[in-house]
Amino acid sequence: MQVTRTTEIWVGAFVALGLVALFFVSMQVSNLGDFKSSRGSYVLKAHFGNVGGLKVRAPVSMAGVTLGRVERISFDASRYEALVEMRIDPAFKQLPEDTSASILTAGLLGEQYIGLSAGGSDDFLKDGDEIELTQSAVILEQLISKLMFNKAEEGKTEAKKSTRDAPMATSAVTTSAPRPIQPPDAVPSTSVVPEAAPVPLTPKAESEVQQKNKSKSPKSSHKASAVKRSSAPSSEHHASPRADHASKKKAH
Amino acid sequence: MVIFFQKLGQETLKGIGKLGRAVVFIAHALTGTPELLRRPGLLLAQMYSVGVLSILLISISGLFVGMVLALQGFNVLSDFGAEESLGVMVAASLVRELGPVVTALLFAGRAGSALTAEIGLMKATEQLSGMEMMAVDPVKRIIAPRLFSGTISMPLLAALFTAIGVLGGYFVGVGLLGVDQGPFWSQMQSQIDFWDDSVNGFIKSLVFGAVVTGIAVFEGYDAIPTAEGVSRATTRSVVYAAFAVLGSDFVLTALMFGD
Repeated sequence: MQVTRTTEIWVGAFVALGLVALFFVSMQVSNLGDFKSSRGSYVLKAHFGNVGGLKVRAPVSMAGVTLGRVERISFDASRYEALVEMRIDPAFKQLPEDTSASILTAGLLGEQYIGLSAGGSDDFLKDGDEIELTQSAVILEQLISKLMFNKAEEGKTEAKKSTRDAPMATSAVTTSAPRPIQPPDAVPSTSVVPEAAPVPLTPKAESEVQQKNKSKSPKSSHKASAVKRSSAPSSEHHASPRADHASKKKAH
Repeated sequence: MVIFFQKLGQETLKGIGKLGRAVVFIAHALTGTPELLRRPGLLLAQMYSVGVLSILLISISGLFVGMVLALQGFNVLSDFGAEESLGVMVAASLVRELGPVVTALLFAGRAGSALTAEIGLMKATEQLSGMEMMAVDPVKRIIAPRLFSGTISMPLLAALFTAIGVLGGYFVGVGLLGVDQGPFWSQMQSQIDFWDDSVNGFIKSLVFGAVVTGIAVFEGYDAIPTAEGVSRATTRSVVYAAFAVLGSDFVLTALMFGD
């Protein structure tokens, strides 16, 4: 076959067309266009008691706007927690130092992502800094089991109330008794609990959680700030001893 | 009984012998690479007949496959109120599977069969032995350019197929069925990963291109040099190429998306 000018032009057009199609597939269809300017981006770290279904490349967002992506998820053997590294776009340099991170779910059963909420500090997070205030993923099964346990506990107190019929005793029971056995991550006992726990509970369960927080908050927040989460395993004890022992047993 | 075993052994040895010939043949063709680089005109001519002449077939098939995907997907997704995910569905199935695989099957039918018939006929009319008489290595001169042009053209054609398929899905989904175009593109972009999906699809199409052209040129070169032999070789070329594409697609998918 003779190689003519027309052939050459056709082959050139074919190759160009193919490359345009490749470009289209990579830029328009897939997500290469996002964060292509990774120059100047910086990494933040955070420890989570449980990352749930969080995946690498999951979005990190604040106020619904994506600021970056999860770069690495690893296990921190010294703390028995997950260490998540996030790469944040250079455009969002001014995140306050007391920013808190929580693992949230997009939609009812959607992908999990990290939601940041800004604090009030004047200092900003730098490359390699760790976000101290974190909240683990909500595990649906644990939520349900907790709810059912609370219901059962309620039934018990009701029964006691009716049999004993003593006002003193009932008040004591209601304040001290409802401490459900918790799986280690249902409430992030290791981290300082943000004021409004964004856990979608039923009103009843929510009040319970708040009550619990109140009951332990003076001690725990004080202690946590003193220990600064560096020697976390020891500071965990006061929060929920039973759950803690269980988790240690599992870990060993 | 003994005859049965004899037949079985015969077939096995024949198969192994053919496999060995194929490996030696492909290795021989690859040694023609330096010569090919000195004479890119040979490659260019083959790119034209293998690649350029397949553009129309690939484009039209891609358009219709994308349109059908959008129609079918819309029916299912609208049951769940998830019409916005139509873009993801069309793009994911095209980028990961349909783009490379359907292109490779079409390519085997359009270009692979032509290569086999051409080379088989060259052998039947003793053009190949004529070349050898002139001290020109026919494997380096005839086979190598065809092998390389097929391997280069196939990823380009697959990318074209995928891109046109996504556009076809866009026309049907957004234009005809009334899906909003914002989520159509944005969900697609957030769900399709460049490295995990696009690059893996590209690697697939590269492998398929090499497999289809390799089978086509070997079947042509190995054909019995008669009219009947060439026709059989052409049929075998398409059938084997289809098997090889689908089989290697399973292996590649398991390797790439298995975990």
